[in-house]
Amino acid sequence: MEILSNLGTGFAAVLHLVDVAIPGIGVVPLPVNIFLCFTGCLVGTLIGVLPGVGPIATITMLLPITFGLEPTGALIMLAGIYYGAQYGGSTTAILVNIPGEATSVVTAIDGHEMAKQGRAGSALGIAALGSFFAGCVATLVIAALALPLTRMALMFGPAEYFSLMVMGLVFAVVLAHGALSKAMAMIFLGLLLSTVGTDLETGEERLTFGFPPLADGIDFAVLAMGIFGFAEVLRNLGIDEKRDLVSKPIGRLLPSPAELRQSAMPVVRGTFIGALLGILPGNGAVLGPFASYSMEKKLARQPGRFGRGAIEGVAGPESANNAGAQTSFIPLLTLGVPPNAVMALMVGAMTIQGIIPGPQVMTRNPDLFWGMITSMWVGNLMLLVINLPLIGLWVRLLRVPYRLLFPTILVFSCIGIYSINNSPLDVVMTAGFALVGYSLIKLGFEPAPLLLGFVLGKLIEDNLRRALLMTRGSLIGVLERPISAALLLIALAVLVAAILPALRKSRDRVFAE
Amino acid sequence: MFLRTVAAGLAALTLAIAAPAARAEQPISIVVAYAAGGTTDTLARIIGARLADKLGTQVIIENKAGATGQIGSRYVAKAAPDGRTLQIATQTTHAVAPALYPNLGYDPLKDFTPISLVAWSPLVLITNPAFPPKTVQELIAYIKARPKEVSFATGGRGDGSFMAAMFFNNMAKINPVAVPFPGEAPALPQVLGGQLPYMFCSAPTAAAPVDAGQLRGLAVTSKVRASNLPNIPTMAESGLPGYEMVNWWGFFGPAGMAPDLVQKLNTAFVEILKEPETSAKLKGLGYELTGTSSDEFKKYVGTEIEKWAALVKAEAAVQQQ
Repeated sequence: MEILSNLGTGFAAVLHLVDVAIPGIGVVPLPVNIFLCFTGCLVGTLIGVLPGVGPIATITMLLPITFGLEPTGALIMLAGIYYGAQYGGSTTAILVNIPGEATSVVTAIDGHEMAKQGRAGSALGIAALGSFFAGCVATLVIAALALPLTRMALMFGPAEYFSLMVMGLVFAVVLAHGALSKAMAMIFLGLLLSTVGTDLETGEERLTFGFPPLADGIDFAVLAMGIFGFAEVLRNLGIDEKRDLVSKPIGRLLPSPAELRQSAMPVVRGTFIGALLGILPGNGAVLGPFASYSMEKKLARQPGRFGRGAIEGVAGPESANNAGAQTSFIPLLTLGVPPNAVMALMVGAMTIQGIIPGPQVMTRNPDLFWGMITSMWVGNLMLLVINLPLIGLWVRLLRVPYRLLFPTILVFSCIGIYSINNSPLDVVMTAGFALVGYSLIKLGFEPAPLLLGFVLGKLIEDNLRRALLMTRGSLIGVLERPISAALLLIALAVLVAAILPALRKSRDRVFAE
Repeated sequence: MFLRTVAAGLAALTLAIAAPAARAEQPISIVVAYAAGGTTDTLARIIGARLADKLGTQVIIENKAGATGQIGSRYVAKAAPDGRTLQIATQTTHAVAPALYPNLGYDPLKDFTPISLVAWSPLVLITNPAFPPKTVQELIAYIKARPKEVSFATGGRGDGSFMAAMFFNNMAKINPVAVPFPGEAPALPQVLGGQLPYMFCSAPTAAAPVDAGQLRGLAVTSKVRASNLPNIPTMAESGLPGYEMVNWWGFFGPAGMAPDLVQKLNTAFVEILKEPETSAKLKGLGYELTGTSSDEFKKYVGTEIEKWAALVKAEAAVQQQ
């Protein structure tokens, strides 16, 4: 019952009427926060769709505007931009194979395949529907269980994070649909790239070759845009346009009933996994889509379909992604600890408004706390309303001849990359990675495991070193902790399950020859 | 009001995209050498908004993050000293960095013109409430009784939380193990959850969980008690006289700024800090306000640089043994 009264407070805050003076009409009471929520969702969707322009750059740019707003309205809008961008980001991943963030890498794998087969509408539709379901459920989870879940998340020390990330790395093996050895090679290359930068403990620079811009390591967006997006553009330019996806029929704009049935359980499972991982203050949300994809591939009757346009490979990860995006508000709201860079910006936005994020927000500013949570639910509904009609428009974009489309993609991507650090050098580095990515495609290597290795490498290394510092160098200490040991066991099981059939298959092939 | 905000929003977005056009009017840009959203960024934005009103020019906050503030500082050191590029510097960029990094690429005194020290805030020695020591002396005794057993969290080498702990260890002659995190924010949950027993954490961040009883504050690192945590004793009161370490923020321009320009900016900053509304807001967030003259600031930075250089040297000597 307490939840109901809290949600009541939330709805009251969201629907709160403010007298607005409109020239020519007079003073009208309007639910300003709803408009702000809509503005945030719309801006988020649009920047999510623009390749490379992420929520961080956008929120930084919009921060000064929020000074003039009420704190509740300002945060509702900024939150809308964040989860709106998660919706929009999948559009670019599916249509042009450019994942703007780590979380949409997985969506690009099967989503883009579907687009190539003329099923872009279905992929976009299921992404929107799955995200909507995940967003609604995750909002309820936040409202009902934020405090107990926070206590659970606090049980994660460096050892647990290390084991969790190792488990994530094993997923990378499952992710690949080509040769296992090539996937492994890509993971290790990703791990190697993640070691570039300043050492956390000693402050020494590693693998930077005395080049100052590398001191903070390689930016994820730079690597992903180069190796995935730009390389994809290069590859498409090498293909005769008549054979390209442009000539494919547009197909249906919404998933068919059969596809919906196929996606139902992946959506539910993805939501659960994503919501759970999103709570961890150490940026666990990044694992959600990967975990969901691995799970769906393992559970599928014909795992071979994955990587060739399986709708479950879009439905599950997209739901996990959006659920994680919502529940990553939990550490921010209950502890005042931002789990990622976007949440750190939200902390800034709150403090500029004079609200100190932390456990007291819930009691001192209940309007703000519950208003924000309720606005997420409203926002998810709005996103569905914004996104479903837009699908037709996005799909039609594929009809634009590639010779016109690709310069646009490249220009927007360059603007996006530049806006991350205001650094022209990042754009140059992206171009360099594009060449690497193109060579990898030509040699039959997949970029997704590389990106996962890159994302997890730093987390694995830093957390292992922290855990070893705490146990004074004893690896047993990592295994002694129950959660950590359990996670490592799961990782081992998944690895064995992934490698055994592969080994058997290669033996079969040897025998067949 | 709402429509105006949206219009302003669209205008700002257009401006942000059409940055070269805006540059023609020469706004003042305040360089923040960290990502948006942190304590330095917040302070810059609150003061920057007031500076724009006061001087009647546009003020832009430019986040040039990277290499613990060195990238932004290097950028300002090379900028033209025309008063259009200012930096909100911290003790990390302008006092600790020279001691830690021999190839810094800028000299905090020679390459910059100090304008005014605007604010400082102490750090708080926080522990998990379940951790037995309840005072600084108990903590020191606890660590001494268990050599090589106690670990603590820091925000990484060079961070205020790291330097405060280094100073503390040096003075109390203890040798616990530092577990580094990339900044205070990811370290805090580890102390909240009891994975690591204690850390030094900046007062604006620590105040909320300490008030809520999720953390215990043993001492503040400043000479006087913090105004937002008046019940926590200072290190000196806790038996470590001479211990003083604060995070500070001050405005610098590139070297060679004209004295009257420095004076004009200094006056503006000092007046802004005296405004009742601004000062109440900043104090509420845990900043203590000063507003010194340019000369006072220069002298202060000089003593800070010497202090950290001596400490880092002493620490290196201990490590050698």
